[in-house]
Amino acid sequence: MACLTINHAGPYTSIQDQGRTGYQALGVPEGGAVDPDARITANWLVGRPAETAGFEIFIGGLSFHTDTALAVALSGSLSDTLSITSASGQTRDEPAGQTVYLQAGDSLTVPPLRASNVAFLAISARLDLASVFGSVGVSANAKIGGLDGGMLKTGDKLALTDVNAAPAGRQLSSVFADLFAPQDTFRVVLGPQDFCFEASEIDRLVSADWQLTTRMDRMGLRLSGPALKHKTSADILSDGIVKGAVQVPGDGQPIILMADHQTTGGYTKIATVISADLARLTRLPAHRRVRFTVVSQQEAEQIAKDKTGLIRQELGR
Amino acid sequence: MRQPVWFACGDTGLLLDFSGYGPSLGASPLSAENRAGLTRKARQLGQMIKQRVDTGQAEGITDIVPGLCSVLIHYDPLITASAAIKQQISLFLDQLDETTESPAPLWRLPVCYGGRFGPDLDEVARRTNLTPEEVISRHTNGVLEVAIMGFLPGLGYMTGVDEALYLPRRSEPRTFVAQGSVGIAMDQTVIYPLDSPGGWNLIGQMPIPLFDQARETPILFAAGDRVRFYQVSEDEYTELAASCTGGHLPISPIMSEEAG
Repeated sequence: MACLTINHAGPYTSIQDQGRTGYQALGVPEGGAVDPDARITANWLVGRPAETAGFEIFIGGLSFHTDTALAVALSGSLSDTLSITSASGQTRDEPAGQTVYLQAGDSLTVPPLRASNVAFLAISARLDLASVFGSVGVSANAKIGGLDGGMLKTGDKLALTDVNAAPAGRQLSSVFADLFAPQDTFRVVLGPQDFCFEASEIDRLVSADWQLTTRMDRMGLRLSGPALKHKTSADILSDGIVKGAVQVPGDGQPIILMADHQTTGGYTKIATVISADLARLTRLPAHRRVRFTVVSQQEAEQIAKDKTGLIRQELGR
Repeated sequence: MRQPVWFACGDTGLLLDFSGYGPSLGASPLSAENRAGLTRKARQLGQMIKQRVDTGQAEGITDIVPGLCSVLIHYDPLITASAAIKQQISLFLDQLDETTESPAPLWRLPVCYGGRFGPDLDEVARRTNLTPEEVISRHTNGVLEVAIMGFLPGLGYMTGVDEALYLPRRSEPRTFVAQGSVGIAMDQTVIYPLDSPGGWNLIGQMPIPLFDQARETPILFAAGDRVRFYQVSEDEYTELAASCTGGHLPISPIMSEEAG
């Protein structure tokens, strides 16, 4: 069977797809690529369905050897480049955001990302992995997905099926350059526990400059800035959590919960980053400054529809 | 009577909170009994919504997660909208009755207490002025309820622990807690489904995995299920653990009516 061998993987590089829907009541995290826009567009570039599993490159890089011809595409970090070394030792560079063809014996290297904190590399094949609750994506805290429930490691061998060696060449339009361009203002819907904070603290949330810290992973991004004070306590009766929730523990420093968040928790959540903006936030590297602005739940729903409509129109899907 | 209140969770979630939290913040806290009743009510609503989802009557609802006194409805904003969900669900809110719930399974779960299986048993005994044997007998005495799930796949927070055993979590959480460890803190018990960090007081180990990908039903119990522990020896523990290999489940639950 056709096979990829991992030469090198950054510490947080993992196999991801669309994640798990419908099992959070049992404590199973949602998971899935933290940047769905990158996953959808990368898969389109290699002619695969949007849900197909590929490689999420978080912070560090990735390098693998292929024993079969196939196509790959990097998205989410459009100004980064791929480096390909052939069996005979010749090296060439290829840009992100378009279909790139590999020959049997080639080694592909995605260097540590410069343009984004996270990117998605799609392949024109299916990774032959066991699905757990409808996904092969890795949720490391739950030890599920991938080869062994963990991040990719040097020497891992991944069997491929349904290889399409030469899908039609595609390129992302300029619309995506805008979509993936770094931005520093993010829209939130207040709640579910904004009532645990005085109005002055809500003002602080939206007027302050917040800094992304190095404490970021697939579970959450920790911000640093002025401490948000609770009216009485940071503790609530534990309730369910959505991706993007802005959790405020006792120290007043917000944590934005990401794909592998716990399904329930007992800390106040002052607001929620809207779904259309969450991937953009994930792409920003540590130390970047961000701001928040408030929209209503209805506005956020419309923004999600508009954004998805635009992507579908551009991809013809 | 506290009225349930809706809260927005971005554009993908709606929380229905039965505790009256928002309006009554700072007012008298709920008694444990009221809390249990409201948690059942929220769970019952979750079951009613799930039934509608399963029969295709609630398109766009992607997940329903029971909390303490609340239920979170995850939804896909491309398919439905918060306003439509609120309207649909408000229609059957008044049909809820916290005293009745569909029959919940009762799981009788074996635990090997103390020694290397429960490194905190002696300390728990000392801090509660009980003997280790009394701690075990109080832990095996009552029927607990899985109030909510969370933290890891298959982990349930079980309420109803004997008051004599109430202790805070450990001040220094452990960086490693073995899969199957049984911990207590406050009025709750948990069993760790996987090796993980953890801060609960560990009194024993349960040999049957709460989460086993090889099993036909990988996750053992759900919110609302009931649990009663019984003590087993180290030999029985080893035998039970061995019988779980290859996705085999050596126990089955008793339905509530049979349990009496």
